[in-house]
Amino acid sequence: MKNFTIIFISLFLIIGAVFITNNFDKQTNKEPYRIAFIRMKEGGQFWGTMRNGARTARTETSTTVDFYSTVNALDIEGQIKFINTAIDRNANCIIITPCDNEKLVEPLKRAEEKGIKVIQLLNEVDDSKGLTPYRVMTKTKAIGTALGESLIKDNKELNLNVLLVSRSPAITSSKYMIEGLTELFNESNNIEYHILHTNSPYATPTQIIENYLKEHENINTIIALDDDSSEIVTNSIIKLKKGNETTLITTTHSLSNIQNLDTGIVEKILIINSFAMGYQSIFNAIELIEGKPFQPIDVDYTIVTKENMFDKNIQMKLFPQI
Amino acid sequence: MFHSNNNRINTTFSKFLILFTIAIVLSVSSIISYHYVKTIRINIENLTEQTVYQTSNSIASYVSDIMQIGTTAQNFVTNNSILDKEDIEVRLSAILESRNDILTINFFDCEGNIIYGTTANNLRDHNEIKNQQWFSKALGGIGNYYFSPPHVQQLIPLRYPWVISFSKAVSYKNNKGEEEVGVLLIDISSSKLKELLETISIGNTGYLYIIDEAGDLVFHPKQTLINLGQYEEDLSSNNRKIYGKFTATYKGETRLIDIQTIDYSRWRIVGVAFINEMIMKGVNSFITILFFVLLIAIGVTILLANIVSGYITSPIRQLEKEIEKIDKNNINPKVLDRASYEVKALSKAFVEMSVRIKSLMEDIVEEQEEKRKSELDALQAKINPHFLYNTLDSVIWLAEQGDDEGVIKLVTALAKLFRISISKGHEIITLKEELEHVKNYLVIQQMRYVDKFEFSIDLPEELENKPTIKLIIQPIVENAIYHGIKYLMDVGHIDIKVTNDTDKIYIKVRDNGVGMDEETRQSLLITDKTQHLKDGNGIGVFNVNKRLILTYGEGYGLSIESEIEEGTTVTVSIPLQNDIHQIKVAKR
Repeated sequence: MKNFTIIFISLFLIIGAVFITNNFDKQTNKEPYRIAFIRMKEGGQFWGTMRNGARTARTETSTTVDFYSTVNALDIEGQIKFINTAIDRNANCIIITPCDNEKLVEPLKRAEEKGIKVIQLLNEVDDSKGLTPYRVMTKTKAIGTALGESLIKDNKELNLNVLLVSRSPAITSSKYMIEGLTELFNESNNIEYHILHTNSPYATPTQIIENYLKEHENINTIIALDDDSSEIVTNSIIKLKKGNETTLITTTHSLSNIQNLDTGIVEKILIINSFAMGYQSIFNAIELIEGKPFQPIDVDYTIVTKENMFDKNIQMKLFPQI
Repeated sequence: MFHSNNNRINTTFSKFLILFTIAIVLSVSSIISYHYVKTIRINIENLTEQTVYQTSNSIASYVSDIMQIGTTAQNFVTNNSILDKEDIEVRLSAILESRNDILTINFFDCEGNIIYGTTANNLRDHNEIKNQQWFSKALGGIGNYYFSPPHVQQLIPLRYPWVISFSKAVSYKNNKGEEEVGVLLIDISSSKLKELLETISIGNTGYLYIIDEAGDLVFHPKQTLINLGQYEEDLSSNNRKIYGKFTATYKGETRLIDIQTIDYSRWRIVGVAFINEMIMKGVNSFITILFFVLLIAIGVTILLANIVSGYITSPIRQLEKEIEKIDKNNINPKVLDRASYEVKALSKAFVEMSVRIKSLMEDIVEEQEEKRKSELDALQAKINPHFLYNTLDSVIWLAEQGDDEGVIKLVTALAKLFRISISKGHEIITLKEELEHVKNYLVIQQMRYVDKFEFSIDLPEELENKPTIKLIIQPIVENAIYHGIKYLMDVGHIDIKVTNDTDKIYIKVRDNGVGMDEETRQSLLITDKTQHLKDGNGIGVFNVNKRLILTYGEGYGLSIESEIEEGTTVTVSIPLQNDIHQIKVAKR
């Protein structure tokens, strides 16, 4: 009995101590997950909305989210620096919208080797080099196809000479949209298309676009595949006074884009739900950190025209109340 | 678990007490839990109802304020025959400045053209304005009004504010003095509703939202998430009841829904409480407390059981130790004075028993000692050296007389006498052998004391093989000769007769010697050896009696009858037992 009593009281004390310690630990010492959120760019409605999505999720999940972004959307060195900072700060996860699908592989692999989960957002990096492909994406190729179909539907009688503008061929979201568009255009006899990447060490994007438009006066449709390109192309069209003769399709719901849509300069706006990207990626990151299955949902997109811009469901996405 | 014979009292007691405590704690906890959950549920319902009611009143109050402002603005417009355009717009601007939640107050004719307003900018084309919902919904008749859900207002070109529009059909007089119907529009910032709804919660995650008469969302605290497809509200459950409380399950969660109408607005406010989460929160706290209570109760029970059972079993253990000491030849246990009544009684009984055992053991030891001594005496009787010497002397004497037959007879009797005496290991012999032994003894004595006595032995044939301890008659006969017959002047007689009844055999040795007085007769069977040693009389008889009692018990032994000058009769009683075989003493 004496032994039994000693064993039982010992067990009683141990269980009690573990229980109390565990509860105390849960209540006081639980470190929030640290997530590094690296965007391509700070400014602009698209990136701001993405940040707000991540912020909302951060509030709901009580995680620590460190936001990083470069001024220039194509600043590869800047993104590598942020990856290294995230490694140094012992982040649990890096969520990144990579601006280059090749040059960021090695730094991200290094992070992964340190036990940091890496989620690619919107754009991909090359996973053939061993990086685990955790991705929160939108169906960019399908978006390209949908944009092309919408364009063809509205301009059945016209011969289209389309210019597809993007910042860099290394940005996969633009690359896949171009694939979707060109595959569709290739099926049509009365559509001619050009692809223009404005990233050049020799000229500014505006110069490149204006020069290209001057050289190719028969271009009657321009599709800008990212927010930077949208702004540059719109300004160039206005400057070159080609608004009346050019069908312009832009990307993101920036105020200027909306106003240009409202005034008729822009024909359509492509809105990718960047809020959902930021929001969902935080939850996906937590799932990954906690060892749960990675189950991303493809982020939705909307093609907005002047006619539907105030529709109940469209205005919710075009004018997010954030 | 309590049936094992190896269980100690305190183990059993502790186990019982622990199980009993657990059972009590769990039973009480179950009852408390049931009532606790029930109470929490009622509290949740009351909390939800109260929250919804109060918020509904706040929103109704706010809506009433807006409607009051609408009435004031309507009065300005209606009295446009008295007030000029500038006066009306100044008064409308004054209202606007007094309320930071109101963005614009404008009045349009039925074609959507602005007549009076606080908006300085150019407005969108009148066709765009009149096609908007707030405009068309208001134009149902004079006094008709409409509260829109939050929407992007399309009033000023290139501006896209989120507003809630209050619109009302108002009559006014046109430039020609004719009465017409126009639409009064008050745009309210949706932040007021946002403030009201986002700051109020039911429990940790419960919330309130507003739906219109069609059941569509007017405002939701998670509006941004809903707008951007990151949250879905269960609007279909609201069709089950227009008003009141009910529970609904949505995406695996049980929700308490409470719907109340908001006065003046055609809106309804919906309160959502997550019952399980709120109950579980309470239950989790309760379980945590219960766990601690259970642990403490078990801990205390163990200690208590240990102390109580220790108190109970300590005297028993002490008693056990006392018993163990007895095992070690110590038969003097102590009475446990400080134990409980029952244990003290047990201890007392045990002490008494020990004393009795001690006494019995002493008796046994004494008896054994006496038996040993009497057996030694018997052994001595077997080889009485005086008897042997005298007999041999007689043999010599007969031989000197040339009495060969006498010598042969005497020596033969002596040999036969020794045949029984030396039968070592055969303490039980037949009556025939015992009496043969006596006969030989008597023959020898007869030859020593010529013509001094005669003897007879009467042993029925059926008793010949009955068992008896040996050498019980010879000492009696010896006594008869030396103390009875020897002093007779006449020839003495010694008659030995064996009889029996159902369970006993009686061997009567009767002599017609000088007899003995009563005092001597009584002293023959007493234990005080000194009485015998005075004259050496009776020691053999005493030993015989003792041996008989030790062997067969108190119901057997010797009885002596004697009368002075008449003789003595000694009756030996032994049990009637089954026949045995005679012993065989091998010749060497």
